[in-house]
Amino acid sequence: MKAYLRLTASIAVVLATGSAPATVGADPVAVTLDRAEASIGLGQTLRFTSQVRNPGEQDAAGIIAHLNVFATDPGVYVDPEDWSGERTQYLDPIAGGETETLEWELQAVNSGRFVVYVALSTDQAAAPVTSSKSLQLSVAQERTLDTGGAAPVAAGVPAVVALLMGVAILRRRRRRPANS
Amino acid sequence: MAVDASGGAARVEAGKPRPEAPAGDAARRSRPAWLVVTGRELRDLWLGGRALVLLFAYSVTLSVTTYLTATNEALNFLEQREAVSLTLQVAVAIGVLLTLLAAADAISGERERGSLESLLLAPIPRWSLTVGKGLAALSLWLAAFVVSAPYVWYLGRGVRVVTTSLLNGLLVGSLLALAMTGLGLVISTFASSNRVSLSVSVFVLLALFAPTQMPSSAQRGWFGDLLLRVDPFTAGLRYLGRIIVNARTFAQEGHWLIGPAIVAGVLVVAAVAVSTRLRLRTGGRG
Repeated sequence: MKAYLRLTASIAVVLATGSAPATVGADPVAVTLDRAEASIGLGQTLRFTSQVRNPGEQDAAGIIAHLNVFATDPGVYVDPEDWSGERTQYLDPIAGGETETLEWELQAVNSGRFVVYVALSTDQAAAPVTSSKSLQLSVAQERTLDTGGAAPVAAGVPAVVALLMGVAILRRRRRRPANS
Repeated sequence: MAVDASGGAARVEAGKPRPEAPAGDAARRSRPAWLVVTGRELRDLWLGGRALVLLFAYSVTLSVTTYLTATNEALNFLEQREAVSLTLQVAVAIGVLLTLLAAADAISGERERGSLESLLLAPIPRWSLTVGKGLAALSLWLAAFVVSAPYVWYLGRGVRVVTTSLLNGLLVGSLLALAMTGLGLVISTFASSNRVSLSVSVFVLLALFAPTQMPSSAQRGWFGDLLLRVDPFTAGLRYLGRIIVNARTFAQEGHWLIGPAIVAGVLVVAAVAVSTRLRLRTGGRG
């Protein structure tokens, strides 16, 4: 009877450890970015990738990757929602020894120096958070449009339409019979 | 506008048709009825001044948008491609609104002014009335597009997106204008008054704009995706954004235009089909 119980317990342990997916906490998954620094202009878009590697032998399931950005200058306010509309990715299970590549896109809405990184975690309580190394982003202030040239276009087009209106009104008055 | 019994067109002022030159009548008799209706409607719309007033308001709106995009610091962070995309989307949306207003006034306006009776007495097919009025309404979109061209040129000249923006803006705007013309004519045919027609048309237009404001979380899943593709405004404006901002091609993003094309086709056919039901209201003024 004792032998039977030991065998049952052993099978249960094997089944439990074999079927349960490895998580970030159980077997730390590493994340790396494809670059360490980047420079773009204000309003421009930066596209980069991150590699999520599962170094263990078991599947890593339930991983959530999150992109974040903050300014190194305390005077610069950053709202990450403005920088990227899709900052969270829910990953499919990654097999042991496999790597998954994630694509990220963010648009610079402030100028200055910023730190960008990707963090991994799961939905479990007290799960550890694994972060990538930082990407140093430099955003240059640049004015893409010639403000002086806007006024002639903004004033000229309505003026031309108003002129056409005037011509139409004059034409209508000339065609109107004298007694009306 | 009224079409006389000979198949030609004669302007009616205070209920009395003005006699026209015999040579002109002969020339008009040889023209298809829908073309005669279109010509008369275009003259009423443009020489009457109504279209030019709408176009002036349209140009002022685009001027404000362009000036703010170029000079306001809060908006100037936009990349130049985004500035072009924003202005073009505003131009398309308001240009199409003008078309809807003209189409919504087409039948119910005649009914309210008491001139629908003389139109219905003319020996021409009812569909030619609808087609003529629809083409005149579409002229507003084409004029609006011409007006928007300088703004797009100014904003996009440095990043080589002017031609792409104008061609795709014309394509998307024409599809949306066709759809809204059909919608306006259908509503105008059944509306008892001009006020009802214009109110319902603008309400439907606002409802069609609603999905463009949905948060991205609500756009996920098959239903969200279907809604984005079926709603002609969301699909059309999304297509423009991807072509201009993301530098995608028609081959890559053309699938977004399937929905607007189908909706435009269905609404135009519906407008022509319901024109056979065009009749005076009992006890009404026509």
